Amino acid sequence: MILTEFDYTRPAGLDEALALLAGTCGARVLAGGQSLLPDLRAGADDARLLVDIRQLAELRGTTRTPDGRLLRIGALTTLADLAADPLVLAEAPELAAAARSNGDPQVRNLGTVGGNLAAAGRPTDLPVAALAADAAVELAGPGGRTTLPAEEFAAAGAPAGQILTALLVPAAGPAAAFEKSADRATRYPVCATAVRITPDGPRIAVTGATPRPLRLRGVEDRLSGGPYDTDAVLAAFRAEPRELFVPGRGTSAEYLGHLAGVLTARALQRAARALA
Amino acid sequence: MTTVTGEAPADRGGVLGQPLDSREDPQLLRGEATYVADIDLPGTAHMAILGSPVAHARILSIETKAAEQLPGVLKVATAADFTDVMPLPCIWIPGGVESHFPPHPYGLPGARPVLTGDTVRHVGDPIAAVVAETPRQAAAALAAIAVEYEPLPVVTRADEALADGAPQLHEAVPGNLNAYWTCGDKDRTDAAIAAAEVTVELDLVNQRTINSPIEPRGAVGDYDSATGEYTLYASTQGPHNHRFLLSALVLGIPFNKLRVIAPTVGGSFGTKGYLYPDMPLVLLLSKALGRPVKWVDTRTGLMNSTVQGRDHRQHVTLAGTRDGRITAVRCTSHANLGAYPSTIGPGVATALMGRSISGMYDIEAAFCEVYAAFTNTVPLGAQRGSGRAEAAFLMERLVDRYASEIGMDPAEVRRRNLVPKEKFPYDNGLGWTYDSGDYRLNFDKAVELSGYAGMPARKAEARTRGKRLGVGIATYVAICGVGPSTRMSQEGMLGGTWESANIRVHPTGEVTVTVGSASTGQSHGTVFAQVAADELGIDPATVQVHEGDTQKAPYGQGTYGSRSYSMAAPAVALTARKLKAKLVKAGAVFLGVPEDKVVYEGGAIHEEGNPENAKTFAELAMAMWYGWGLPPEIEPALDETTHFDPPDFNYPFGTHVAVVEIDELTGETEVVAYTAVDDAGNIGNPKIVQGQIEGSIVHGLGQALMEAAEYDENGRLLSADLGHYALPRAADVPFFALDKTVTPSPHNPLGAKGAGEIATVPPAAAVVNAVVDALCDLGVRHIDMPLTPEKVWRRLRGESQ
Repeated sequence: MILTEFDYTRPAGLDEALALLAGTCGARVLAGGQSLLPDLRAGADDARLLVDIRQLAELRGTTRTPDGRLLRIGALTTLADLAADPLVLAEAPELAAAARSNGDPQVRNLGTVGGNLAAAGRPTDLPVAALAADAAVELAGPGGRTTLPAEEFAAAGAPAGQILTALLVPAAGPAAAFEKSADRATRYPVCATAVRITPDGPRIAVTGATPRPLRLRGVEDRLSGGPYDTDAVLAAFRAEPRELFVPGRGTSAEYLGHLAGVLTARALQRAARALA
Repeated sequence: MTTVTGEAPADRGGVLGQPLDSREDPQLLRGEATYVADIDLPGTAHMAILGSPVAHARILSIETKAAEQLPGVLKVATAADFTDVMPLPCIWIPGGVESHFPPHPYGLPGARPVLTGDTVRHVGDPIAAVVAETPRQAAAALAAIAVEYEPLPVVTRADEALADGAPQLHEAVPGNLNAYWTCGDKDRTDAAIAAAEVTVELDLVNQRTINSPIEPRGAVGDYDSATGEYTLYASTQGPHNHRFLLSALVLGIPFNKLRVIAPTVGGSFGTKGYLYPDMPLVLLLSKALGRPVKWVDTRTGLMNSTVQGRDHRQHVTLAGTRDGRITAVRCTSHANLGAYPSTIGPGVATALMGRSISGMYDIEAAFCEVYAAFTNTVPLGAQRGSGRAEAAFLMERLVDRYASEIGMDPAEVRRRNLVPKEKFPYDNGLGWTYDSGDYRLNFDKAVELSGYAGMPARKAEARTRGKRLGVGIATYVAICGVGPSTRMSQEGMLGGTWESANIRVHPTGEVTVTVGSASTGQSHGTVFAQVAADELGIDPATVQVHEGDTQKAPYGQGTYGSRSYSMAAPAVALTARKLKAKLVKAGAVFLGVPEDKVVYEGGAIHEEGNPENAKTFAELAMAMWYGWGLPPEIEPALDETTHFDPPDFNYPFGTHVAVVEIDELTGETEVVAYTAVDDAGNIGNPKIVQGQIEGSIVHGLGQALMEAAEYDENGRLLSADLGHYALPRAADVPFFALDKTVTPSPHNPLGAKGAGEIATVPPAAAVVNAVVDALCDLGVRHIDMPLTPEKVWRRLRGESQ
C-alpha cells in the first residue's frame, strides 16, 4: 500500500503532546511505531497527525518506587532494554521473558512498553505478563495522571486523548514465568501464558488463544493448592468453557485450549522451580 | 550458521575456485544499489493497476469517467485502448504432445491479454491502468473505476478443474486441460508394478507456494518520440528475451526500437523470468502521454499477480523386491497452471517435474503422466528448484515408505539403488541422460557427516526431554544448465537457450566483460571477473562486468534454472581463450619469433626459452590498440564474443539429512540439525555458492514447515501478505553442516554444474521423512506439508490425516 498523507510533530513536553492529541482530529501518538507504521502502510489507520513522543526522556527507563514494592517502567522503555534490565529480570521475570519473546531484534530495539501494551487488536506479548503480575498502567490525560489496573486496561483499551506513561509492576522475585508458542508469520503468540505464584495461589493469564488477554480465575482456583503437574493443569483447563478459545488460521479451539494448558503447566513448573 | 568440512577448493594457482568476497553484496546490504523503484526519470508519471477483486466473472461494463476527473489523473486505460496490442505469448509448452492455449495472432500459444476486457479469471487479473502525477493519486483513482461483474463459478484445484461440469476458463481450452503429458514407459512400468513383490502408494499434495523476493516487481517505460525508441526498466531475469517477446510478439514494433534494462534486481527465485502485463503497459502509456511511466508493485500485489510455485496433487507408486531393490516408479500428477499459462509455466509443470522423478536411483521401469490444468488462481511458474523439488519429494517419500514396508533401514535401501558410477552417462528412462556423478561417494559422505549411526541414542535422549526425534534422508538429481537449444526445442521451448559473453581489452589493459545473463543478486560480477581473470592470468580487480542492458550486452537468455555459471561463465572462458589465441598470434609479431615459440603465461607472453623477450598484458593491450605492424590477417584491437550452446544439460546432485524434534505435547516441530552434501561440479567461488546453498535449504525448509498459498472456495488468496504467509527466518533454522563432492560436468569447458537453486530440491522431503520417522510407531505413513503444530499434534493423538 501507499502511505497516506499525514502531518508530523515533535512536542517538547508531555503537556504539549496531550494538547495536540486533544485538539487535533486524527492525532496519533508515535513511539516505537511497530504497530502504527504497519497500520498506516496497510491503510488500516487514517491518522492525520503523528505526535512523536520519542524525545520525552522522562518516559524512559525503569526504577523501583521508594517503598520498594513496585517497579515503575517508563512507557518509552524499549522491549530490548526491558528484556535485559537486571531489576526486571530479578523482580518480574515473566515481563522480561515476554519482552524477549517479542518479534525480531529490530522490533525489540524499536518497540516500546507503552506501544506493546496499547496495541489494540494485536495479540502482543506484554499484556499477559502485566495481568499475571497484577500490574497497573499510569495514564496522563488533560485532567492529570491516573492509574488503571492492567486487567481493566486490557479489557477497555487506551482511553482517547490520554498517553500511557508507565507500567507499575509489583516486585515479586523469581516465582513467575512466561511461555509462548509463536505464529510463524507474525511472531505474535498463537498462545502465550504468564504465571506468577503468590502466597494466595497462582495468577494465570492467557493471550493469543483468547479474544484478548485474560486472567483465568477459574483455572487459578482449581490449581490453588498445587501441585502443578501437567495432567492436573490440563484438567483444570479442560474445565474452562470451550468458547473461551477462539480458533485461528490452522488452529482449532480444541487445540488452543490444550496448548494454553500445556504452556501454563510449563510456566507454573518453571516458576515453582525458581521459588524452591 | 555453517560448518564446512572436506577438501579446500582445488588450487590451480588461479583465482577461479577462490572464495573471493562478493563485489555486489556491500551495496545490496547498505541499500545503495539502484532498483527499479529508485529510477526517477524527469517528468515521470505513476501507474496503478486495477486487479479483479473476484476470481471468475464476466465483465459487463467498466466506467472510468469518475476516475478520470480526479486530481492528478492523466489517463485511465482499459482493454478498449489496446485493441491493436497482442496478448503476451507462452514460450515453454508441454513438449511433444497436443496442447491447448488461449490464442495469439501469430498462431503461437497465447498467455493473457495486456488488460482483460471480457472475463476475469483470477483475483488480481488486471482490468484497468491509471496514470497520475503521483503514486497516491493513481492508487486513489482505482477506487473510482466502476466495474460491473456477472459472477461465474470458481475452481481452484487442478483435479476439480478437469471434472465434468467444472467451470470453463478459456474457450480455446476444452475442459481446462492444457495438456496430458507423459514420459517413460507406461506398459513396462505397469507390468513391473503388477508383478512386484512389494508395492507402496502415496497420495501427495505438493502445496502451492509464493515466491517472496525481497523486491516486488516494478517497471518504468520511457518512449522517445524523436527516435521512436522505447526503453523499459524492469526487474527481470531475462532482459534480452523480454526485449524479443515484447517487441515482436506483444507490441509489434521493431526489435531495435526497444531497449530493456534490468537494474539491480532484489531476488527473484524464478518469478522475474516472466512477461507481465505491466511491462507493455508502462511502454504503451509512456508513448500515449509523452512522459516516462512508472509502476512499482506492493507485497500484496505481488502475491496476487506474480507467478506462484509447485502445486501438484499426485498419486505415486513404487514397486520393489523384499530385499530392497526398487523395480518401478509411477506418478500421476494434476498440475495447477493457474488462470493463464505463464511465459514458461507449462514446461515447468511437465518436463522439469516428470523427467526427474527417478532421482539418483537406477530403476528399470519408470513412468510419469501429468494433467496440466487451468484454474481460477494466480498463474503458476518456476520457483527455485521447480519441478525437480516436486519430483524429489515424491521419490524420497516413496523410498522411505518402501523401506518401512520391507523393514529395512532407509539409508540402506537408498544405497542399494543408487546409479553406480560406472553407468555414466546414465539414461534414466524418462528423458534425461545424467552426465556424471559418484552418487555413492556423495551419499555416504552425507550420511556419515550427519551422525546417522548415532540416531537411536539421540532418539532415546530426546524422549527424556518430552521430544520425539526423527531423522530423514533425501537425495536428488537436479537438471540444470538450460540448455542445449535443439534439445530444449524437443521439450517444447519456443526459442534458443544459448548464452553469450563479450570481452573487450581496453588500451590500458583493463578488461570489460559483458554477458547476456542478468544477475538477480547472486554476484555475477564477482564470479565472471574471476573466470576472465583466471583464463587471462590477470588481476580480477582489473575486470569490470556489465550485464542487464540490452544496448550494452550481447544477446543472452538470462538467469534461470541455475544456468549462469554453467552457461554464461563458459562463454566468458571461451571468449578469454579466443583473446589468448589472438595474443599469441600477434605476440609472435611483437616478439619477432614464430607463433609456436610464444608462451602465454601469468597474463604475459614471452619467447620460449627466453623470458627476457616478453610483453606484459598491458603492453600487449596498448600494442593491439595502436595496431602498428600487424600483418593483414590480424585485426587490431581485442574484442571477442562467444555464443555458447552446450551439447547437453548438466546434472548436479546431492544428499541431505534432516533431524527434527517434535514436542510431544504441542506438536511443534523444530529442525535441530541439517546436513547437506551437494555436488555442483567445479565451483567458481565457494563462498558465493555456500550462501546459495544455505539460502536454498532455508527456502526448502519453508515449504516443509510453514509456507502455503491458500485460496478459499471463492478463489481469494487467504495468505496475501507476510502477516498471513509465513516465511522462514534465521531463528527457525539450525546451523547447517555442509560439505561437497566434486564431479565435473563434461558438457562445458569449466566442468561446472548448476548450483544456485539445487539445495532447494531435497529439504522438504528430508523434513517430512524425518517427521514421519519420529511418528512411525504411531502408524503414521505420511503427513502433508506444511507441518503445522496442530496437524502434527492430531497425529500424535492417533488421529488420521
